[in-house]
Order: sequence, then C-alpha cells, then structure tokens
Amino acid sequence: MKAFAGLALLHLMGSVLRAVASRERLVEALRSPSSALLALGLLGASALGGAGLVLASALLVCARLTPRPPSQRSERLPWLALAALAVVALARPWVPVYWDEFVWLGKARLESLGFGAGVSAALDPSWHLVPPGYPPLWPLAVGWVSLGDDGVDVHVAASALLATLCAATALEAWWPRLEDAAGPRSRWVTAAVLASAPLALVHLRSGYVDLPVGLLGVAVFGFLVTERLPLACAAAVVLAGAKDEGLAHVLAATAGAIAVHGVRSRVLQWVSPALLGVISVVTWRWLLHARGVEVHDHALDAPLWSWSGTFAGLLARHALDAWSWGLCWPVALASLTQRPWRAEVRGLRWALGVNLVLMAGALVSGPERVRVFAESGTLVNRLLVQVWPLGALLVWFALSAPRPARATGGHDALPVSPGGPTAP
Amino acid sequence: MSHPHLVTSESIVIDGPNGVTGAPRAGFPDGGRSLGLGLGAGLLVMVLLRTRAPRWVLALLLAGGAMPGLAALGWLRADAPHRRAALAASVTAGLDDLARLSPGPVARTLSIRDDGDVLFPLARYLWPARLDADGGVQVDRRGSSLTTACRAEPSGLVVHCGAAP
Repeated sequence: MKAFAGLALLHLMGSVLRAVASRERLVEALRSPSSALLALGLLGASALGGAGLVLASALLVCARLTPRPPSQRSERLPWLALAALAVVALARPWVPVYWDEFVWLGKARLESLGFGAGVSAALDPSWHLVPPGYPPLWPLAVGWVSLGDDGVDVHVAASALLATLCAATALEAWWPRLEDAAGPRSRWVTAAVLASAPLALVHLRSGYVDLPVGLLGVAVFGFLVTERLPLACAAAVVLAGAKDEGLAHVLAATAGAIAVHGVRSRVLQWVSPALLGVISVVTWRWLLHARGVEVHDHALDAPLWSWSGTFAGLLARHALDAWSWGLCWPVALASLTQRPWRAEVRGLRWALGVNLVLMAGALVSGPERVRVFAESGTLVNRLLVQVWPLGALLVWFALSAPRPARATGGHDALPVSPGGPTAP
Repeated sequence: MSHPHLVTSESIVIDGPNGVTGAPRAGFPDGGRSLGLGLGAGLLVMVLLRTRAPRWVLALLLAGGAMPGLAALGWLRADAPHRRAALAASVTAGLDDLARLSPGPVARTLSIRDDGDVLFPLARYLWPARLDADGGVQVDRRGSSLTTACRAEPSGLVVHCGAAP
C-alpha cells in the first residue's frame, strides 16, 4: 500500500506544479497520468544538488512558456484498460527475480538512507556501485515512490507502478491520434497490439528500465505531435535522467515530430524537449567527471565498422524470434512498404529509423564488452524492447489503415492528418 | 522446436528478460525456421495490406503468432503463474541467507570470489554499496544455483556461499 500512496503523492505534487507552472486547472492536471512526470523531473534535478539548478529552471521555463492547448489532458482515456495493465504489471512475485532487477532495486534501497543518497553513492567511487556512472533517476524514483521504506515488496510494487505510469503516459500522449484514426475500434486494436509481443509483457512485469524508456520515448513523440510541449519537456527530462539511451529516444522523437509537422518557424519550440535532454545528460556527465567516476559501458571509442554486419544479423535473428516477438516485427516491417496513410506513420518511421541508427552507432563505437553482451544474447532483445513501442504503433496504424479502394487502387477516403495531407 | 525453455529458477534469474526462451543465449538453434516464418509472414502481410482483406485477418495473424510465446509465459517458464510461488520462495531464501551476513544496503563486505552469475545479483540487491573498509566480512560465492547455504569459517571473517569450495 505504501507504494500506492507514494505514487499518489507524486501525482498530487506533479498536478499542483502543473497547475502553477502551466496554468491549467488543478482538476484537469489531476486527471492526467503524465502530471507525475513533472514532479519526478523536478525531484530528479533537485537530487543533483546545485548542479541540477539549470535543469530544474529550464524545465519550469518550458512548462510555463512553451505553447500548449488550454487543457493538456486526453479525453476518454481507457481507464479500465490502464487498470488492467496495472494488474498485469503487479501480478508477479513481490521479490526481484530477474538479474538487472536486483541491481536496479538495490540502488533504490539507498534512497531509504535519505533524499539524494542514491546520487551521493553514484558519485562516490569508493561506494563501488555497479555499473558505475549510470544515470540515477529511475532507482531514485523507485525509492521515492517507496516513501523511504526499505522493504523488498515495496520496491517491487513501486517499480511496477512506475512502469504502469510510463505506459499510461504513452497512451495518454497518443490517445487523441489513435481515436482520431480508428474511432471506437481503437480500444480493440490497442488490446490486440499489446498482446502480440510476449517479451514486452515480460518486461512490463520485470522492473527493467528498457520498456519504460521506450514508452517515455513514444510519449515525448506523442506530446510533440499533439503540441502539448510542457508534457513533452517533462517526459524528456525523466527519460534522459533514467538511462543513457534516453537521450537517443528524445532525439528520435524530435526527428519524428518534425517529420509529422514539417520544418516550420516554431521548430525551435519543438526541440525544447531535446534541449532539456541534453542539459540533463551534460549535467550528469559533468558531475561524474568532476568526481572521477568513469562510465565503462557507455563510453564511446573509434567505430568498429566491420561489426555493423554482425549487428544487422543479430538484430534480424532477435526480431524474427517468434517466441519472444510473435509476428510483431515482421508485421511492422511489412507495414513500411505501405504508403504512409497518416502523417504520424511517416513520423514513426523516422523515429524508428533514427533510433536504430543511434543504437547501431552506440554499439559500433562502444566498448568491446558491450558487443560481447550483444553477441551472447543478453542485450539485443532489450534494445528491441526499447523500440517496441514505436514498432507497436506502426503495427497499430497498419491494423487501422483503410482498405484500398476497389476500382482505383488508391485508398478509401484518407483522413486528414495533423501535419496536413501525407506525401504522395 | 528445440528452443531451450527457461524452466529453472536460475535460468529465469539469468535470462528471464533476455528472451521468452533461452534461444538468444543459445545462438538461436532454430534461426532458419524463424527466418522463414518471419519472411513468410511479412510477405503475407504485404499482400494483405494491398488487398481488400478485412483488417481482422491481420489481427488474427498477429494473435496466432504470439500464441507460442504466450503459452511459454503462461505455462512453461519458471515464472509462469503456477510456478511463481516456488520461484519467489527460492529467491527469498537466498536473500534471507545472505542478509544474515549484513542486511545492507551499505555493507562492509568484500567479495573475494564470485564465479556464479546467479548469486551475484542477489548480493548486489543486498549490498548495492560496498565501502572501502577493512574488517568487513569476506564473502566467497560459487556455483550457479540459487541455493546459497552460506557457512562461515571458524574465524567468522570469511563466509562461503553456494557450491562447496
């Protein structure tokens, strides 16, 4: 129960902050799952101490000044489906049972020593945290939602609730567009897509951060597409603070949003989440450098181009493993051969492409140890989990696409997409 | 299919989220079959998207493709619902045994040996931060079983956990 109370408190804090910063009605903010992210982002920046001041200020400025509709809440969210998702995430052993879950939740335990203790430990090489130098926000968040309790069951529940929050945020970000595209069918299509990738279900219940990262990535994208910039900024700060790959997801989401909207005079506003992501990463890396903490796993080196082919092969073999992915990736890839019937589809392709390129770049230019992980089967599926929300949206739009017209070979009445008509 | 299923608690700890089965670590023994299935399905979907076939056919294909994986999650794996209690019990027993050395999260323990993938994460949960300090308990962890069976040497300064040295 403590974790539920912790999440409720976080949500209340975020809603109040949102009402003050974005001048929304408090009741509107309370009915929006993403409100908690503003609190998480600001708490994360505060935990960094004085160094986090720039990040916190930039987040508040973005929440206050970037354009937004009068209400940022998504209407008619499928709350029942979200409750079902929470049940799925929570119906698991209330002890850690997967390798990295022990490591993530172990770091969350440190927060029971006091606010920001996880950051102090990560920045002190003599505390020997493993792996060194990882961004601290996710374990901090688990600790905060646990309200400082050091119980293993509380940590597992907090982690599952945070994963559910990320799923709810992603759904909130995209729901207006999904309803617009499929109407009343959208609920059934969403259920079919969610159940189509067994490994994603494992991760929803796992305490790993890969799925939350992917979900927050599509949330940033969705909020940008629907022009709710304050929410995109809050999600971007949490995303970049949760994992090093987070920044790649923010950049990919930005590229996707620009592909949807086109390059307009307001493009500078749309890159504000990416700017916040960069500030978050630069702040953390500067702190690590100042305290002499080396990041072994995510250091960049001279690219080993000859490994690119190996990576492509590994990616194909993992994506086509029907036990883990069903037919999700074959369907997503097949949908790429279709003409994009909405501007969002074009944006999703860009976001997925940019993500895969950055992922390949990080591995090709990363340390040898990471490539060994990839070849031994412990990494590539987790990277695919990170981009699965983008793939799932591609599958979603493929399932919702209008059938080709009988006589002309064109499409039945194409809906008008938010970025204007799709390219011929 | 000859995929190694994750049927033991230890295999779930090590590889549970790396795949629904142990195929990724085993180098995809059925890679050719998966490739054929994936390519066939992809081609079929391309055709379906270009015809006036109802979209529920696509949804049916998607659901059918997910069935083997969902069956493995629901029945075969050691974290399937009916085996969950046993998995939790084995992890809890291991955590409790190690916690008797030091409850953590900040511990003065020194890992003098750690050759098992399974006990490593348990110890990392219990002692995420390990201070550089003399006088702590030296822990020797061996083997790839969740059975910790920690036993101290007469001096009490060195504790062996896992398989016998």
